[in-house]
Amino acid sequence: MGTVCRSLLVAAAAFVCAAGLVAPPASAGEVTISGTISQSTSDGTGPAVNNPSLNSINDGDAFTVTLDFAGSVSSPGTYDLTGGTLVFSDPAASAAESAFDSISLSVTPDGTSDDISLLGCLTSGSGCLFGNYLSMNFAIPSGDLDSANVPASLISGLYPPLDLLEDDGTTDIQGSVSAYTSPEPASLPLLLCGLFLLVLARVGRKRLTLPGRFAGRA
Amino acid sequence: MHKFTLAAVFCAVLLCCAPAFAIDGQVLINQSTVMAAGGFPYKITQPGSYKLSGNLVVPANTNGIVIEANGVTLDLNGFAVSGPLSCTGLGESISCSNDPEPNPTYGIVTTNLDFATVKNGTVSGFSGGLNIEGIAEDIFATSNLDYGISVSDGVMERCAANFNRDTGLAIAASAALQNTANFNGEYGLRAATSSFSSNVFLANGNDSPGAQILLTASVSGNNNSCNGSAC
Repeated sequence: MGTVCRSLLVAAAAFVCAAGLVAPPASAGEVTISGTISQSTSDGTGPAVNNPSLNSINDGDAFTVTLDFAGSVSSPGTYDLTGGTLVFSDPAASAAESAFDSISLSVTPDGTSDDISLLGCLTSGSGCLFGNYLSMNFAIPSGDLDSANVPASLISGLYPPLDLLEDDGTTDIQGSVSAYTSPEPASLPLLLCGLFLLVLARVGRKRLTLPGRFAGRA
Repeated sequence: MHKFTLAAVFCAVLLCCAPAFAIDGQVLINQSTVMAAGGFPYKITQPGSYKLSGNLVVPANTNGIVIEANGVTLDLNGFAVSGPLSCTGLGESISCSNDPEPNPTYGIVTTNLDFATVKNGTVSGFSGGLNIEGIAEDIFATSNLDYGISVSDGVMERCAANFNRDTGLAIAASAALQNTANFNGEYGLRAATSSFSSNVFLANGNDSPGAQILLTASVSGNNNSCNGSAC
């Protein structure tokens, strides 16, 4: 009975791992972009009305922008990620903005780099294109779309890399971008599968002397 | 049934009001909004007021902004629309890389005889920087191939065109007022059936007086300066 269970377990694990290998790379993706605030309400923009927490942001604060979405972004193109979540966060100021509805991400090849453009439309204000959006433009080395801690660089002529416009454009938070992270989403399950198979293999070796299918093969 | 009618009326009102709102407000354009809309060229198809909220960097072999509606005002807001061409040198010695011929590109262009106002910014790196029917105000054009700014059936005012490979400014059936064109490869100004006043032209083409302006058809001018002399 124990041998049968082990066999079934191994077969199931092998099936899951194989499925993980041949399945699309991700069913859910996450992109995290980090940087530093270069313009805040203390510079004369605002004050923020629709989201007063933004008034606590200071120049020099570290910020992150996290994008969670269904599917994957692994090649150039324009992706409508509406339905995903986009969060701008400044932990030092306890400030955050997450009231985005439509989200779009574009990846454009540009020589040895990929130019990344992100637009998140806020639900507040008089409409996205009337000064209520988060906009980001930066470049990362080609081939690093599914990598962690990738250094991000300025696209020549496009400054600032982060522009968070609120209150119909009255509030304008700006920042630079330093790093991009999008770990291969499928890597964790595959790693777990590998570890699981390793453990099973070790258990099997320890029981070589026992009668059963493992012992017979050994 | 009554609820359905009310809902239908409400929807109809919403649909009617949407374009009006776009006309009253000022639509912001930047690289992200362009990319989210499908990339370049960015097409303006509705009348109204538009304003850049950041520079636009346009890839090769495409126009930057195409205006396909009458009654558009586009404020570049001090920002630049930049194409991939880059030019070096001055006057006759200007040379440019990334020539898109035989398919010319434009930084900003109107189509179908649409009339627009474009103002307050920079266009560079295209076959033609700005090519419109309408009004061009406070535009700086540099490093373009065929011309910096071309205006038909309108007015060109307080614009500057420097270091363009061929012509700095071009007008047809228009008026040019208080513009400057310096160090362009062939001519400072080409004008046809137009008037031009209080403009300054310096060191264009081979630096000769004749290279500063090229006038065809019926053109009148006064108070203009070519290499420091009246012309």
